[in-house]
Amino acid sequence: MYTLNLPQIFFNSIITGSIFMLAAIGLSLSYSLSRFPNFAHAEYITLGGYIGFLLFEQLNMHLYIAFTASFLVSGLLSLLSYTVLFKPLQDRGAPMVYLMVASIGLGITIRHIIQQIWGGSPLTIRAVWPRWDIGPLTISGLYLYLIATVISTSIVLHLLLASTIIGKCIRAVSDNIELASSVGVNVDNVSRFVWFVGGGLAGLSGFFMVAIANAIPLLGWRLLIPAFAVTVLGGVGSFYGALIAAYTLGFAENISVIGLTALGLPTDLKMLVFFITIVVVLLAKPEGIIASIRRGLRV
Amino acid sequence: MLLRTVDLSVGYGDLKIVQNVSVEVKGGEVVSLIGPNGSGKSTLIKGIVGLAKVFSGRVLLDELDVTGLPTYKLIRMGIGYVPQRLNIFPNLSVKENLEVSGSWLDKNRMRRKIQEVMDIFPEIKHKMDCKAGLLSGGERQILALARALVAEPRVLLLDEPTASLSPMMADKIFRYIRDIAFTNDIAIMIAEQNVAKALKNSDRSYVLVSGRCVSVESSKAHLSDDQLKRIYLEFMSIKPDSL
Repeated sequence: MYTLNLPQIFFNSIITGSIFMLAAIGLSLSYSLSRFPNFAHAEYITLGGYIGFLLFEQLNMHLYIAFTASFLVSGLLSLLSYTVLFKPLQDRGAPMVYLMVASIGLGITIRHIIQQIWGGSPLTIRAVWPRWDIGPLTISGLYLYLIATVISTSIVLHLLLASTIIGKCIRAVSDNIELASSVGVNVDNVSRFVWFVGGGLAGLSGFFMVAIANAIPLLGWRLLIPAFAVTVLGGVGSFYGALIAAYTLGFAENISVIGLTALGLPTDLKMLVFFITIVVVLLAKPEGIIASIRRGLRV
Repeated sequence: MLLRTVDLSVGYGDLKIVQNVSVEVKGGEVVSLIGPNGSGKSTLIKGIVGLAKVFSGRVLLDELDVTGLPTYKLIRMGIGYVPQRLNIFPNLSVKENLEVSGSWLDKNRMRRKIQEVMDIFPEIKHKMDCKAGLLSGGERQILALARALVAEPRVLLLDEPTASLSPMMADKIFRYIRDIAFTNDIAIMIAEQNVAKALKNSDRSYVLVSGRCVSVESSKAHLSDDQLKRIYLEFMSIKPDSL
């Protein structure tokens, strides 16, 4: 008889949603500013994971140092790819499909470099995280770090977007790039900032994925489809939409795993949840279901 | 002259739309660009603010050559621009629209400018926290004007500021435009389809046809110019009386 531990499923869904949120925010914001889906975003996730592994596991550095380095290195890689590759292409009038293909090429290159350095086998962080059993719920200290990171990131991003001039400029550029430029916003600087922060957050999601599971060169690629699903469901460029979509899909994934297990089907099929979400949303509400609801509610 | 173009040719990609056009405007003056659809009025303005490709010629701001500078730099140097459509950020509040336009000013200066601008446009003063996308067409146009003023422009380029507005609202916008030019000594250049209103509300006007300037006169002279009426009649199906 298959028994469901609902509190644990709920908690695990929050963890999954938190990873999705960190992975997707940068993708969603950079997509809205630069107007193309950046497939190399997967490698910012992967690199962040490996940098965390290098510093925390291989060099025995403090968790916070590894955590910060994951953010900075992935953020810098993202910034560099925007400055050296995507921005010059855009300045030459490259259409979206060229930029997309360039991002796929860049992603493959970075992935192979990572594979050359660390190899293709899974690498695991051997640290033992503190655990607590609270009733039916088992909570790892690592998960609390993750939740704390997501809560603080959400608060900082909310304050940034709602209360600071740079945040308002980000929203303005996301709304209408030509108009933003026409009112004196330095669109290039705003884009650089967003690419750096978005890449950094992707690196953090990679760091947590490696700490929870293991490091493999396809780590980011596996998170990219959920990240795209979050972006599409939440509405491109909508931080609050992405936040809600990440947790919605986090729950959907965990529930789908239960369903697949009960049916005796392989749990890898859970990826179908994301593909179906992308297809249905693009067919029904291309601007994103959650963004549409928020517009309807005027929030 | 505060702003002038010298033999400016502007277009998109390889297509030259405006050819060798020289226009000028001085502080406190309202100048209108009139001409039939597709005559290049909007393209000329976009060329001045760096949003369209300049093939040849120069843009001079206070005799300083600013041709080809990025748009945001031109705006910060004192050239304000209000596009024809999509000229507000609908997902930002009215206040945020104004703040973004003065993003490079220090906080106190920006607050002061917003207050000044609100005093000029009381219609939107009580809607500061309202999403700009919820404003009416007229209010949006007023917000776009207000937003341009926050950036402390010396020159203001307005692309079809009364497009799709009611005649009453169009009159109101023109009154604002004249007041802004007169009170703040701002040079204003308007690209306008509504020929009669543009001529009545400007000091001087340029007639563009097929990307070339075919006539420059005082607006008063243009209003009573039979040749201008003929030029228009060739390109537009309008009654001579409406000019």
